[in-house]
Amino acid sequence: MQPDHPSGNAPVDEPVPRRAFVARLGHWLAGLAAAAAAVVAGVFLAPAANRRSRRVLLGTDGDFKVRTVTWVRHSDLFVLREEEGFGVFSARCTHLGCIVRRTAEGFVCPCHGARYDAYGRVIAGPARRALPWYRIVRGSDGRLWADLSAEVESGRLEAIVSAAPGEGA
Amino acid sequence: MSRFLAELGDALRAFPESLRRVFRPGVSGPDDPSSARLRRNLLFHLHPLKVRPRTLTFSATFALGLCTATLFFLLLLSGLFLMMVYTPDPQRAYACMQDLQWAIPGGAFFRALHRLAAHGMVVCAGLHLLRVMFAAAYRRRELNWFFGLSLLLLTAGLSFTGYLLPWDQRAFWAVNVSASMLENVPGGETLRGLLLGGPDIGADTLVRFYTLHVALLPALLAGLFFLHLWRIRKDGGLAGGEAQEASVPAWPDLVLREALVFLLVVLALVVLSALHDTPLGPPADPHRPDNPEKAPWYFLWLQEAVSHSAVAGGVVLPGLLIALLALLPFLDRGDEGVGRLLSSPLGRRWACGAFALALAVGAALQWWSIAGGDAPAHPDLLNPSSGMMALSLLALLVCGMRTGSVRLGVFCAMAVLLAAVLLFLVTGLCRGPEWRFFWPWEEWPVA
Repeated sequence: MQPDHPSGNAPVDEPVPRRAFVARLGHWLAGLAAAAAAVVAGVFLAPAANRRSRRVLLGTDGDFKVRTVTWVRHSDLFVLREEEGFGVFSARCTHLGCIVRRTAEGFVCPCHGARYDAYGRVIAGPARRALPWYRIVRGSDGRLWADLSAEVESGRLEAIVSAAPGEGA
Repeated sequence: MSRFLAELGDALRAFPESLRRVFRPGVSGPDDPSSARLRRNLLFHLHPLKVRPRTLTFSATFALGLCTATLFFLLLLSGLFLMMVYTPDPQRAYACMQDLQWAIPGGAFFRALHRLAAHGMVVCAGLHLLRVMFAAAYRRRELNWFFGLSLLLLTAGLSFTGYLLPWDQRAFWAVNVSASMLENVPGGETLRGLLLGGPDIGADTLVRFYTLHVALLPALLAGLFFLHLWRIRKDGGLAGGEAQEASVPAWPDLVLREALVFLLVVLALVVLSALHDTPLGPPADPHRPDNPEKAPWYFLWLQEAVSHSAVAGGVVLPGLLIALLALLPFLDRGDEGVGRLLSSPLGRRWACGAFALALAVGAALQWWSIAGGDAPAHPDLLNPSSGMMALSLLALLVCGMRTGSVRLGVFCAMAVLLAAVLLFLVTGLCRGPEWRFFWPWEEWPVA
């Protein structure tokens, strides 16, 4: 077969010989295809969206006695009730996410031994942050809810007497 | 018609010979019968034709690589049986374990075999790495050293994905902790999502771990395993046999020794599995970990290190270990004594000294961390894990300067890290409720 163009014989003054160019193009295209495949794989494997409600039901006033801490098992929270009012904070250790347990001095994590006082502040161990406290709200039905999207200052008890409009239902 | 019958008759008459030819196509090789045997069989084909006598002695390799490979073979085999009766669904997984353990004939045996072989593989692969490292056998075998290191990490990955599958307490909380750990590394949030398949650990997580455990990771490991073997041939046989020795044929000198080790390992595992009673923890409770909630022993040192500090113990310490190992063939450029375990008396003295010193210092640090009242001002900097890392870097510098050898410096640093791992493992074993320290003879308080 005759070359249809004289440069098919790759003259010396050509900056990139044709074969080298085609080979390089092939590498780039293969790289592009691999990148596209990685994007498709990433999209396919991306985690399901977080559709959890940020507002969780705690219970009625009667569920929480004054001067006690109650463990709300299904949402990994503790509800503290004293004369001044209610406080709700996470039972999830801020170190690596295990659920802490009650002890005489406060709380302890069974996975790596992080220790917290009765208000969830760090005493000892590998945790660096206190257990986070959340806003507590009263629904229109009179029940108590925790708003996990609103973190509040540690140890702040709220009296929450009035129902916030449109809450809860 | 008659031609057809004649041809058919010929074919039938030649059938036994044709059948033989299926397996032994008439390739004419060298006259040497031992090399002809090696050429006939894929497994034999992985071997070199000739090996050096010194690499055949037990003390040259302790057969650790072969033991690891045999255990992997047993894991594939027992894993296939377990796959037949297991469903990767949180509603079903734990019940499958109970069925295996108490209802299916032979179920307890295969479960024990899989578990013991997995533990054995972690041990053998770890010892294999130590043997190759302290024999400086990574010299001029950089690529195969990386393959080996990747194989060890894959083994750890397989152990980890494997112990999620029973969906018991240990499984659930181990995954929970490692997922939280990813939040401490850059890009970890994305990785966490990819691994868990959702915001929380659930059915998606179990299926992903199952797929990793039974398909992706074993395939990668098998592929790398063959590359690992192939590189031994490419690199001219095992390290340390280079000098002037006469070689002997791989068949029978090497192959029969291998067969013996293979059979002994299989026999030991079968007997142990028949006698061993595999524990099954309580089912997963996503709202309440056990007290204490402990990782299996081969990750317990890491759990202890993480209990000092998530970043120092969980990210920096394993990172330093892996980085030192990966860089080793480039740091050490000496060619003397390659393939012989701690060949120089000076090196042996330094490494053993560093190891002993590290045990003493580490024990003191642990005691300080357990008994010490007030938490230090900078707990992420001042803790036993970072103390041991500092000591290992110090050992690298001091030993390296005094002996004038980078290799001995790195050996001393690795000896210190090894002491730290052992010490943390033992402390981890001694942890009781609330992650408190209890001596083995002390009884745990009833919660």
